[in-house]
Amino acid sequence: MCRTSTTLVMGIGSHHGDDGIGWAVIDQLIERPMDGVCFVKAQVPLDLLDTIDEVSEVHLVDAAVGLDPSESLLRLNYSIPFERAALGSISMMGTHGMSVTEVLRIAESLGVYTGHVTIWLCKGQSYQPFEELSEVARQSVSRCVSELVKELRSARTVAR
Amino acid sequence: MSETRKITVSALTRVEGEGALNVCVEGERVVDVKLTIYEPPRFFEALLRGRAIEEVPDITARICGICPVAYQMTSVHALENALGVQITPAIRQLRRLLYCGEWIESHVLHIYMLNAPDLFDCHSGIELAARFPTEVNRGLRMKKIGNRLLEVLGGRAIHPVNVRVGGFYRAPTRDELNLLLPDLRWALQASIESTRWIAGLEFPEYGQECEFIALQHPDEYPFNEGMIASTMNSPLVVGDYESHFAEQHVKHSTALQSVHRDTCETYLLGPMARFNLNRDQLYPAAKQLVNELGIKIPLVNRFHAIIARCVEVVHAFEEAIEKIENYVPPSPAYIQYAYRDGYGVAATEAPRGMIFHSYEITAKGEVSKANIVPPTSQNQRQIESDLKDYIQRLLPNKDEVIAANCEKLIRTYDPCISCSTHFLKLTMQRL
Repeated sequence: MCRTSTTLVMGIGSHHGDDGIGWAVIDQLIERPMDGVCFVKAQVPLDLLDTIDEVSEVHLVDAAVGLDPSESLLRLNYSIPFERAALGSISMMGTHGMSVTEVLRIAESLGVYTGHVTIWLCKGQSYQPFEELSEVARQSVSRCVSELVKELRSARTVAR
Repeated sequence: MSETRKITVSALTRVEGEGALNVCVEGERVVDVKLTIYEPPRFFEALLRGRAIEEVPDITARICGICPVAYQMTSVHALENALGVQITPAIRQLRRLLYCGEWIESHVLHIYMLNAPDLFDCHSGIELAARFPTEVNRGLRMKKIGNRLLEVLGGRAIHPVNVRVGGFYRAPTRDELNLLLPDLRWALQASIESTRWIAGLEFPEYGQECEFIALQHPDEYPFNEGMIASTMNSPLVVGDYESHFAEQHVKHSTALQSVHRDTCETYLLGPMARFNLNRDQLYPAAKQLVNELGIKIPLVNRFHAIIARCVEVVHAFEEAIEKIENYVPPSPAYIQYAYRDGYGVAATEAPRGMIFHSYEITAKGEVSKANIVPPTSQNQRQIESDLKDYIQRLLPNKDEVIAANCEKLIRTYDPCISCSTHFLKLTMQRL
């Protein structure tokens, strides 16, 4: 999937309204290609396990409900215990009972390193089939893209 | 004196979606079991009306993220039926290969992450992974290989976009497919090992007599075509589906439920039905494994569905290898067609069972009417019937034991509620 990349940005989504946030972020990022960065859409968080150990940096983007009302975007570093704990208290949209949190815990159960994972949670509002993204979601997508681009470019500048 | 008890499972885990199960018990008798389903699944059929037929495969693929190929395959076959299009044998083989990828991905996910934890009293895939890392890693690698096959054939792993009416937008090259062979060969052996592992486990016992229905083809394990075969009734041609089966609306569910039109009897689709009706059409390694493990037909114990799924994974890997080794790219990649007024039907075998589509189309190439009957809708009534019978047997147990066992039974059917709607909160009332 990302054979020549060192960084994976995976957007998790579906066609159900704001659940498509992850895909919307990837759609915008694909327009701004970066060396060594692979942009991937996924519907099942479990697909992360296909690639998590093939790259040195993972950014996971998903829709979330229950964020602080003043926040449209939350960035959590999975290697920091406090932020990891915060992740468990936020409701994400997952299929087959497997949310991002559960998938990362499965990875850990299998001895797979997860300390290189950063999770970007974007505020969603409505999750009806085939609905367009809500205004709330559009704003959080826009902010997420902007922040992610800044972080990815900064990492590449430092690396050079 | 009457006794009232309530059992509530706030959310059924490890199935696709949400809903509720309401159980009513009077004295020592289960009098009613209702799978309550909230969301309106028929949205998609209305959405298709007035759309160009070329849009249908991509729209229907979006109904389900787990089994998009089933929706695409059924829609293109039904539309080709309406248009009078005959696809070439090479296109047909490529479609079977695509279906192999979907079965592998969907079945392996269910086996390892959803169903197998129950066989070890694990609460989740996380716990199973901690206890059996070798086996779970093997499963995840198999799933990844299925994903890769879908990616190469479908253009991408999620919601493949390469399928079109008449064939494919682009046929993969031999080299692209040959690259998959080493992994597929590894996966075939891995799937055989997995089946031996699963089949050797202890299973709960539950099965009542029911009618199993699946497609049946004289020359192959069913994917894209065949007669509608039954363990109790004469086979039907797919064109007769709508005159023999009816969808009913029930008050407690926004998803329609399918039954026989003339008797209102229920039926069960899926891997057990396919295996019971098509075992002789399995590929050699799968067939040999069935013999080695002494798996007898008919499989009736619902908890044995995972064994049928495992065998189908072996078959899918084996057929995928054979298809790639003998692959000749279809040329052209799709058959041209002319618009005409028409009506077409098709049934194919989604991982969870037979899926049926019918379309009326206009001379402008637009859909005027669509009917989509997913397998989970067809299985719902049988699942309710099984639960009623199963709960009756479990009644002497504590409520939480009954609830936990109901969850396990429901998971064996691998209900895909996003195809029909969302699932399950259990309320049990003892009067």
